[in-house]
Amino acid sequence: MNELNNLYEAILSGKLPQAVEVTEKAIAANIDPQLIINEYMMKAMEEVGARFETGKAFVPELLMAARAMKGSLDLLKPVMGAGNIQSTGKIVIGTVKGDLHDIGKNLVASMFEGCGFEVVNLGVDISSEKFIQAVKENHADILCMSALLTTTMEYMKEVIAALDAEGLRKHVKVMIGGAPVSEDFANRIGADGYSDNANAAVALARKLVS
Amino acid sequence: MKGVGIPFASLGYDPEEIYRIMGYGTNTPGRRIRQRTDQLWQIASGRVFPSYYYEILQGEVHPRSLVAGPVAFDTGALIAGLMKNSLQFAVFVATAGNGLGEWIAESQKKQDWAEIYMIDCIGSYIAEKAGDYMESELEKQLGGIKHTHRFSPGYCGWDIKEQQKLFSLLPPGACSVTLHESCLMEPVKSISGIIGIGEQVQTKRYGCVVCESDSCYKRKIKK
Repeated sequence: MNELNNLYEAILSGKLPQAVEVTEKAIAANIDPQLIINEYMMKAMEEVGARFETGKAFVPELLMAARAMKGSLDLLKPVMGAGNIQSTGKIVIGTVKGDLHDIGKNLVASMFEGCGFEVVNLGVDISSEKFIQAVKENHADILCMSALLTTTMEYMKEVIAALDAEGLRKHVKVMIGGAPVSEDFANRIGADGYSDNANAAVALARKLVS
Repeated sequence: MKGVGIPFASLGYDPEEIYRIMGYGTNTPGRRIRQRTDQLWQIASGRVFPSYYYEILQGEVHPRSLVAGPVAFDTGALIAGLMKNSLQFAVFVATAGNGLGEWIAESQKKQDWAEIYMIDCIGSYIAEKAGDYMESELEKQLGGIKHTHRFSPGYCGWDIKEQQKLFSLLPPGACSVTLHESCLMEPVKSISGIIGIGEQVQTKRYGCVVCESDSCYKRKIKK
């Protein structure tokens, strides 16, 4: 089906209506959903990610692509059946206690979803108890924490200590992000990784679950 | 509410600066992003109502601190040096206002994250422009007396926890901005700080060129 190239182009250029239209046609034509995802949709996301890394695409282009990707994925999921969807990994994400910033965290969550991860977005002002409960209930592969204040970023350390205390630390990777956070800080608090943008967060998450 | 409304049109529309906040640096975004930015600015003009408030207090500067009214601030040597010769201080808050948060909350329901990101960046721009407007109004009141740049807790080595002291100098609910225990201001797109005033103050270089913090978001944007 030649039109699948249009799906690649629609996602690459972040055009949701076109992506949805081509996906609906592909479903009607009984094309293998996993082939559509792997050969066209994921490839488009990889390309926009590569363009971002080389300064040829920027955050809005990334997010538009992720939205188009998610629009298509939402159509394909019911066709595939829950048991047959190849999830890249399961991520619990939230902004730590005391912090109400949610835009950056939501952007990262949408990129994760657009790139095939299952995401449980807890919201903002999340206590260590809530993080732990969500990790347990969802059998998360990765816990992502965000903070935008120097006063709240230290709470990430408490959450990691709580994961340790619950015996969960070996089973879940921890990623952190947010304006005041750095690689050094991630190392200092014992996180598995840090990223300073949504695209790098996806690349790191893929690495951590591989 | 104590605060002065800022006419939206007086903020000035500088799309290049908004693109820079969006992360484009010196690149120009494609037509779709440029058109959407123009549209969002138009929408903002109808639902975002920025405001400012400032109060002028007597004070003095020490080598690593300053006193404004009844409050002593441990600003560190860098900011104290930049405030040298100040005899008065304008303690201020400026905000894009609550309308922006409501707008973003509505957009979140559509899950159009590119649009939300763009609105958020426009909000950052409006908050800074509200600060510029406040500063120009202060200048009019000062009638030629010199003043420093504006400085805020959390930047240039000034501990963000000093924000609590700063807010103790402002009337409750100034511009409807509240300060959380974590020093988060709400609405989020707000700025607060202090400006030194005095005949002998010098407007020295400031910002990233005088600050060593490598984790500050302003430095990250410049990268």
